[in-house]
Amino acid sequence: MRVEIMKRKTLNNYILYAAAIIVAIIFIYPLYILFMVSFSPTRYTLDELYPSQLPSHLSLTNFVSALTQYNFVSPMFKSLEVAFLVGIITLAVAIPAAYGLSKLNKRLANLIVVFLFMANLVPALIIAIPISVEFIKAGLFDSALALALAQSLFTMPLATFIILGAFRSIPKDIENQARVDGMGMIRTLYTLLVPLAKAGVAVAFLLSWLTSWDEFTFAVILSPLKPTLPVIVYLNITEGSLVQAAAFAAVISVPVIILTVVLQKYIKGVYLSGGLTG
Amino acid sequence: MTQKKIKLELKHITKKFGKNVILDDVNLKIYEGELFAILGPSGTGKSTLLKVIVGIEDPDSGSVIVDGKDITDLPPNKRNIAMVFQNYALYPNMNVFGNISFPLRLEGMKKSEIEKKVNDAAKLLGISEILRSSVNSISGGQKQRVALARALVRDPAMFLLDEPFSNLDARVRFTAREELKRLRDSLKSTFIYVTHDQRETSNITTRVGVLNNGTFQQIDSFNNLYETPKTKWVGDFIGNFPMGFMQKDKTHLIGFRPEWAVVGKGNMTAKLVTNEVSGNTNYWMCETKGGLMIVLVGNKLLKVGTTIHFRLKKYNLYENDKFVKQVKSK
Amino acid sequence: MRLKIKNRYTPIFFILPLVIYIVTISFYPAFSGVFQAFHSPSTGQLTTSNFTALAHYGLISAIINTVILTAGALAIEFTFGFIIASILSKRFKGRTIFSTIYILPFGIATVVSAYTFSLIFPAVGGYANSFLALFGIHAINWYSSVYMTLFTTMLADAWKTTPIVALILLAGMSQISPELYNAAAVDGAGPLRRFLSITLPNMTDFVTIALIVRGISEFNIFALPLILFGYSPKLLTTLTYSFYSTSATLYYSLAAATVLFAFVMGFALIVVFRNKMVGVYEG
Repeated sequence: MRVEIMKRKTLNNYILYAAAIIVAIIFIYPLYILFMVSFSPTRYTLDELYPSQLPSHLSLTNFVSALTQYNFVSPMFKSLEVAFLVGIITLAVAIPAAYGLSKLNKRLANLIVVFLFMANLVPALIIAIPISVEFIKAGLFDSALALALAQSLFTMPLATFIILGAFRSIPKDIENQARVDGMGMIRTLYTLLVPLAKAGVAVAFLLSWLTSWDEFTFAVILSPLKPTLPVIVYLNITEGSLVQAAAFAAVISVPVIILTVVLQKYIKGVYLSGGLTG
Repeated sequence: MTQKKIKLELKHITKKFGKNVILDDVNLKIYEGELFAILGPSGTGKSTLLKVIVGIEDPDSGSVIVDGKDITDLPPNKRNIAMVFQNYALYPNMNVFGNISFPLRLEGMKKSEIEKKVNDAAKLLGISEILRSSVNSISGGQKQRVALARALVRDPAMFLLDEPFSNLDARVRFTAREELKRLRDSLKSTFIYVTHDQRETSNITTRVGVLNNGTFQQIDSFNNLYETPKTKWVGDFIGNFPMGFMQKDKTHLIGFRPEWAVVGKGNMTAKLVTNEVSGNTNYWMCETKGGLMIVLVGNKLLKVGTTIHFRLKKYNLYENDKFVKQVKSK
Repeated sequence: MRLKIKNRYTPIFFILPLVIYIVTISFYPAFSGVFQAFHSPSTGQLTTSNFTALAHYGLISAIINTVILTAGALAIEFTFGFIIASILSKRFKGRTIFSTIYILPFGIATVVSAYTFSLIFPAVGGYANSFLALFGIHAINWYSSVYMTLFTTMLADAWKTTPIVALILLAGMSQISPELYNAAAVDGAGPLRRFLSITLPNMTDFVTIALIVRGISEFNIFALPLILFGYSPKLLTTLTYSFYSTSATLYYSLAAATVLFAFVMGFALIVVFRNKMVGVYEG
């Protein structure tokens, strides 16, 4: 009887591992192809009709040609500039908002957060096209700031939600004590609460940074002439420069992979669902 | 008592959260130098009352008067009232010295003066050795002293403490009460604290205010609360056992403490429901003919269901649940 | 008294910048976009002519294709999402490594995933076909028909988006009390039975949210089809962009975006409403 149970348990375990490994292979395969193509000379990859699944003659030639023949530096800096601006704009607006929400009663605050996520339902295209007209009028077209302002739409609700959670976990009496001691609200927020919520604030910043780094729709519409890295990849593909596209794609993905692994703990279903179940 | 100066006066304080009435027309006078406890079951608005006094919560109506001055509209830091929160609310990003000196630094006091004040306070509370420690590394008792030190460096008009003993180990708790009394005696200041545990009020307080349903049921010395509770509810609430009540007639009740009854003889009877041993003493929980529960002091364990005879040395008379008088028999 | 009023309303002052931001950058442009879509480019009069004109440029097929793509991609994402969530809901050695691998695609830029899949599924040859050739399977034309093209796009899209679905479903699964499963095991319910009668009904909220979050993004799918196959077959997003980047007037583009907006809102309402009604029946 016992042996039967043991047998069934190990069998279940084998099935579990087999499923886990098969799914893992499916998920890792595209990344494997991307990095293999970017590190191999084209004659073994893109030039082949049926390229080999295994890497051979690994080299950095694609990166060298992308770096030397293309203006790589300016899109890179544009992407970095926009991503950091998005992080900063998001925190500048989301921190006070989260603080204000933490002072409201919980149901009303949650309702407002849900409303924020609803704002994300509006398709980026219907926002991007009218604001591109406004930005052209205001002389902001192709500027990093304008793009960052638009991209922050995607990051604002999640950042507000994460920071709100961090503020809520700080005991209320610490803030009461600060009031008794005579610290003003704004000072309380920035010298006391933000340092205490620094993990949440950092996660909000990095997720915002990451979102901007990857973003394409606003970038291609609002900043087509001074493109970011994702737009450069797209332009390279449309021009048929597939090798350079591979190199750029790999460059974009490196910080993304690092950040995903670092932030893994914080990329949770509860966050991604925007606290709508809360 | 009447000649003493009134330190704090609350007039008709009312506070609602949504539809819930937390404080319902609270009136209170506290005299200079009192060690006053606000006692009540949890959820009766004790902490809210402290927060109204210190100014963290605004009352919906009524006024807070300190030293004859209406401070209802002043922000917390302009009221010169110190408060120690239940979990001490130490700033986790500052060390002990940083915490104690914080209110002084906000006032913009000179460095040398701050240094002196903090050292004096630390000496008084016996925490001079840990001034440079992180607040996360010290014990609960030390945290409380740090919170007290932070309160007293401001030379406040009075001190408010929210459940000051609830986060301490049982052993430290006893000495902490005595220390609080000693602190009051040496500072000669006014202390008000909130607790749900009557054992924390019996020895050290000048007076106790019993709060229930958002209003004071009785404000008196602990001894008077025990001896002559003004309502049936206070009689039930105060004491290790609720006061025993027996129906006298339609509108009158007789109320008595267990030790006021003499068992063995007498014309009163009750049936034993259970024996309760507490320390060296045995108590009999009994049911009267009218179905009310009373407690008697019994000398031995008895079988459940036994009929016990007793008489009363003294008792309180209640009419419609309100105290009328105390009656002593010969 | 003035002070009290100020205290009560201070939270609003802190939230105000966010509200102003959302209104100026999201609601106002969206409103003005929809407003213009209903106006004639030449006369400025109220009209539906932009939409009727769009019908000549393939609006109907764009709508049909968008709906097919959304439905198909959701089906694939939820199938794999449930598989991954089931795997990760178990405790086993190496679980963290597997969960890291499953999450990785979440962060990869859409453009990068689109490019990678254009290598795996090119018009001729490619890595997928060379892989199939290892098993002696003939090369497949991934873009032989509209449906084949859409199917290929679904596969590519599901790779990046399944992790989000899986994580939301996992959050839903982990809030189900294990006692329920124990009770079901005692009652002799098999794995499939347990999934259908315990797991699913106890996480409807999370399924709804995953549906809304993903369904809306699916309607908005843009970079991936643009890179994989360009403007044909038509989708609502690529139709919008083709008018934006080529035509002299934005009005057709805005009209197409308005149709997209309407579909997104309609979808969200249906999902939320249906769920409410199910709740009423069960209640």
